[in-house]
Amino acid sequence: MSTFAQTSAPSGLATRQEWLAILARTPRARMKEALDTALDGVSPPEFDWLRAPDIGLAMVRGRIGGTGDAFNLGEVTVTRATLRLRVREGRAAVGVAVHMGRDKERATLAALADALLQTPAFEARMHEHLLAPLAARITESRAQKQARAAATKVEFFTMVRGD
Amino acid sequence: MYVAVKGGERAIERSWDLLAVNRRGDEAFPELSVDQIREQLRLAVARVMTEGSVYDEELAALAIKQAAGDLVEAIFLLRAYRTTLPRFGYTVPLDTQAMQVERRISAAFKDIPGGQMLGGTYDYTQRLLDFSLLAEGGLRACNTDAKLASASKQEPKQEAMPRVLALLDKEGLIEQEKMHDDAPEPGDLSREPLMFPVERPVRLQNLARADEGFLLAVGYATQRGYANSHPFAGEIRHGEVAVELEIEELGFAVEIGDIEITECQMINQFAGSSKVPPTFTQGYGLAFGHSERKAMAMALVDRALRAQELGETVAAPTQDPEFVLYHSDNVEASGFVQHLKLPHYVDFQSELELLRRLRAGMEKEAQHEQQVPHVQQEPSEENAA
Amino acid sequence: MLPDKLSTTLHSSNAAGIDLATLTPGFSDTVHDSQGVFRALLDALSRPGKIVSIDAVLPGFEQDGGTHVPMAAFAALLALADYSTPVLLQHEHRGLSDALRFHTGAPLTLDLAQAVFAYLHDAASMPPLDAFSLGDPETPENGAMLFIRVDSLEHGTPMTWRGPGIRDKQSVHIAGVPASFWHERALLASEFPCGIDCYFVHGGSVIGLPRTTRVEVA
Repeated sequence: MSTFAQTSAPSGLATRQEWLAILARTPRARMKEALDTALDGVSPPEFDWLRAPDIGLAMVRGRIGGTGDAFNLGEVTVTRATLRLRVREGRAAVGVAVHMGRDKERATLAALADALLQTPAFEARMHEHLLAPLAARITESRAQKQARAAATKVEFFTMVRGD
Repeated sequence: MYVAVKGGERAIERSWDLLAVNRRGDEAFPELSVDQIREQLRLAVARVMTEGSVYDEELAALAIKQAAGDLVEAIFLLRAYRTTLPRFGYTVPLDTQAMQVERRISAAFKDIPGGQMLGGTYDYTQRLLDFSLLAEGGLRACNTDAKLASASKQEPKQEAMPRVLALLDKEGLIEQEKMHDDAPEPGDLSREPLMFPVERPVRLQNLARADEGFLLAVGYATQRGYANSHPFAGEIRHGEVAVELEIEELGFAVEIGDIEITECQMINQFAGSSKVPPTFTQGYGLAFGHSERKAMAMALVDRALRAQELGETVAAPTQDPEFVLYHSDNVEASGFVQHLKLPHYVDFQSELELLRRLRAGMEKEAQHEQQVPHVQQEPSEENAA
Repeated sequence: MLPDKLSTTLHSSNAAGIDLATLTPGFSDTVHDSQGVFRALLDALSRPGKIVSIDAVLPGFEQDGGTHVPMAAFAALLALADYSTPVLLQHEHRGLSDALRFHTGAPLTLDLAQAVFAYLHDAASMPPLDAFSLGDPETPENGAMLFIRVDSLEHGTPMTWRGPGIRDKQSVHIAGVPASFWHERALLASEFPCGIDCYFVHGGSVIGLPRTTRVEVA
């Protein structure tokens, strides 16, 4: 999942797995901002917590030699949340957020965004005004890092012994 | 035996106050912020996360601030804090091949696909103290950024960076670490104590959390002949890797963010045996953050500890898992060394009594011999204790 | 991405996904509620024969949602189970298994020897006790813990219990547990320190029965 601006889905819209990866990498302030833009004054539906924001740890695993069997490397802090929208009719979307760090408010926003992305009434606006700019932000930030690193690449040259 | 000693609560509370004053230092200077530590002491944060065994930059930075820069103390704080958080599960093993590489070098091969990328490293600095850093250099930073920005515009997109060790594989000259379908779940030192014999995954977990200084010394020792490894740095990479967690209610794995890690593969000789032709063998190191010294030392020690499984003679303490793995944890080591500060009054009192008795006994014997001279003197005994 | 085998959390006897639309909520205050439940369970096991009620707040828990799973059993499993403790459910309870998997991450198992916790809804037809893990001499604590639904904790088969945690003797009445259970349990006594520990559950209350208690059925 190295390019966030493109999706593997034939529809051209990010799949759930892809958009969750985007939401997980979005800082709280950006998420808030983007959600406000996407909602454009419309109140999101209310929701019930299936799992109120919860902070814990996940043990990160590496592979021996990078390619072999797994070993436990060390833990990473994780915040997760699951909510269920209250809808009068139709299937109530369930929003899930799981991301590194200890930020309950961010998890709330991300879970809400995930739920709205599954709700027909909000879907289109969310893809266009929330996901697309967030994806672009991540792609740009990565490109910048990549470029700075590439500037440190060694260009070997051989001395030509001239006559 | 520890003596329960009463009293001293007031002294302890005053000690806390003094500690806080010392930690703050001269109030004429601005207080350090956790954000500053996180951003500007990144390598200290990396060490505390790796040995504290928790990847959370803010927590590590906070621990460093609280410990006034004593990193082993900060590591202790982080280890203690993690015990208060529930464990959600295990991540999908990291795919370091898919790393967003900032630095990637090989000392074994010069021309490698993707090239030698130096990244940001102290390796080429001249180790001269930079007094310009005494003044805050905001402008300076701007210039550096501009230089990088203009240089980077000329660079093509980053090429693919396959593993260097895979290149050697084509001739079958280096052992390749493969996944085994029937591999058991790796042991977890954060849940079970270290028990012997130790399998490689648990050894690697122990080494990952191990004190960098200890590992460095043991690694150095392997190079000086304690173990016979003749290592080459096959590949060292540093950058960001995605972390994935399987979410049961979703039925698939999601990326939950990226972590910065450093990975090192050391290439070592292996003499071969009657059954196996000589091949290169690997040592592996992996650490949080930008921690090259740690990852390299870890790889050297990993290889040394493989002596038995590779059929080599275990001759040096560096190859002895009991010696290396039991003394590698600085929280444990620090605890036992510093426990000597606890009251041992009764212990010591009884030692004192014993010593006095022995001395008295010896003097008595000496007096007795003077009164009854022997033809041959027995050689006098030294203190029996 | 490198191919990988399934992690243990997906080794579930219920291969279907969790139905989030009908999921039973868990504790509203995970930290304090689970501590409270743990305390109650500890109290019950420390004083065998004492009826202890579990005052957990479980909004939306419907005991009569067709399954009749006692609230105390659900609360106990929520508090104790986690990703490292396989849970065995004697009968398929979709609501219970979904809730356990979601809230605790516990893997479900049908392998009696693997189960750390077991919920036995139907005492009359429960599996033989020695089929569960009894632990081993170095780790006797690995013996299974059974939660057995009963019809009453106050009326039923009269028994006299003796042993650690009981001053002299305790008179206990439990309805709905077959004689075979007491017989099988008595045979396990010779395995001490290995063995199994039990909780009898009815509604919001439990009676604890550790392996050290000697039971005399009248």
